[in-house]
Amino acid sequence: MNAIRIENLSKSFGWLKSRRVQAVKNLSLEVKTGQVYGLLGRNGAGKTTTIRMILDLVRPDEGHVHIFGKHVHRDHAILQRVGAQVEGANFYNFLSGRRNLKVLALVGNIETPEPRIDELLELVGMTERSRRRVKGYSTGMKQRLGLAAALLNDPDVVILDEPTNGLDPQGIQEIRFFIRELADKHGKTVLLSSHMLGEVEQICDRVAIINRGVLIREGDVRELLSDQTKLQIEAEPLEAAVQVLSPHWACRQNTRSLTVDANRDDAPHVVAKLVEHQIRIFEVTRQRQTLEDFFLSVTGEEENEDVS
Amino acid sequence: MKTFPKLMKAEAIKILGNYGPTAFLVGIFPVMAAAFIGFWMLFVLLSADARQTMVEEPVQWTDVMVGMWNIPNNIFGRAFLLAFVALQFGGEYQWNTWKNLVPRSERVPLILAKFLVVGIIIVVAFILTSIITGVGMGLVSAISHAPYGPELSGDVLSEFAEDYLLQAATAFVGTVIGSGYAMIAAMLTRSILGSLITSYVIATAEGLSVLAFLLVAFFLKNVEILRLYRYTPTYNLFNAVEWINSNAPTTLRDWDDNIVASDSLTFSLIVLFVWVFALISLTAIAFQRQDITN
Repeated sequence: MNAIRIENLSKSFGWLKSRRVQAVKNLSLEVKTGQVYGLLGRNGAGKTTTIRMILDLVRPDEGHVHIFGKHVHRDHAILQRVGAQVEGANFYNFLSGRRNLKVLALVGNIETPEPRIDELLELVGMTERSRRRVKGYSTGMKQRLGLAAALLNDPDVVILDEPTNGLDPQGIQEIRFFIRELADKHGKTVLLSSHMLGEVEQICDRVAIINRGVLIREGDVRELLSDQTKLQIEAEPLEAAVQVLSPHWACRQNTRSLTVDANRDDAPHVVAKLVEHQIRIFEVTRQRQTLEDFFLSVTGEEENEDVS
Repeated sequence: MKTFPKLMKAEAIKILGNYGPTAFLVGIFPVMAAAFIGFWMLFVLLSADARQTMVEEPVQWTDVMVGMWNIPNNIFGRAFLLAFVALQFGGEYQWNTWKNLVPRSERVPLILAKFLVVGIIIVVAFILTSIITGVGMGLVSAISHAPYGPELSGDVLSEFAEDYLLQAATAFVGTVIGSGYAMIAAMLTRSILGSLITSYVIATAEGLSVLAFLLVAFFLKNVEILRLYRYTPTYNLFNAVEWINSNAPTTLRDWDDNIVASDSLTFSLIVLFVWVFALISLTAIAFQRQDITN
């Protein structure tokens, strides 16, 4: 079942037609229940605008957002099943962390919120500081409070926009583990936007890469990366090896080796070609591409297509 | 609508929790009243002339208590109260906190709760101000051995209650109209200062619009244009206050000092409620359609 379904979403900003900026264009994607889904993109790619449209903060020019099959704008109450932290954690600085959560609980119509607030403050490690005013909180403390706020209504869908910004390494590790647990132990669906590609690779099941408001790749993290392995080959003579392989696979010559864009299944054929041409092979290793490499290559392709 | 009391409670926590600005902009009225009474007591204790003046020109508790409700509609009161409502409406934009609230609740109830709680807090502040002044002036009169009438009777109480409620309602309506200006300004400027300046400019321009109506009517020699001023909040707030205080209408005169308008209390109350309804509806519709982007 889909927790979130986005259909042909488009949004542009600006009053003057000549100065309008297309933030999101014909974006469609589906997030299945229980998944941790990553939304990747450079600054200004349209991630936050997409999240704001999911939360009915911004009205799309075209397209629709459905959560558990219900239209978020026409059936706003469905957002009671969603918890979110959008673009940094902002609170009333003059109230304590606990008071801020109380205000949000009242607005969210949560019955007897105090036990839940205590539980969440404990969970995010903010119990001791919860009675202090938010004004004195560090960015990391606000992020933790933001996470508590997002979980206040025990939501089925959790949307987190850059959740580890401002956290120290230990905090980042805790939040990563925590997000994974939300899906694995509690069956929640998590939509996550992040610049930290290593983080997304570690915790997301599926990702969408957005560039200038357009979806350019979408799929399971493992599937996306499994096709994207490279072979690192130490061979002699290198120039001859490149000549032999380059008609079939993309090759790059390094100082003492060459890198071939080929997956695991291609490896025997690569080796056979080299042997056939009497090239001596010393070592063949498979290099798994990281999500960061993949992201840079697909966003780079887009940029190149635009230039050409 | 069963969630509405919770929205109001949340709003009250926010406003009262921001106690520095709230105390300065709204709490100042009862505090100033208490300070004024303290000063006046000291004065009559120390000065025989002051006591004599109190005896010769005694004040009436009904006038004192009802009179306090003129403050929200004068320049001093309006400046503080517009700053207060601008803080409440502009603050949500400036602090980037709408994004936390809007997914949790329908937008229109959020705005209505804000209007209502802001209005209630101001009304409570002025009830306190009028009680402090009413009781305080009683003590001043007692110290001066001056009468402090009128004596309590059924007629006095019912007349007082009617005047008091009407004056309070007029002040409440004036505050809600000011809140409407502040909310529109907040939506346009998305900041506290922008909201304050813009709403003050709108309120002042609306108050001074009589001059514009007068000039245009004079140059076009068309008195009907001047009569349009009858539909502004300022004219009707003045007219309502005049009816309550003097039991007579305010008069709108042309350049030859001819009376061009003189309206009943009912007319003014209807016009004011139309303004309240229109401003709340306009802000609710505009907020419903607004993109929360910061």
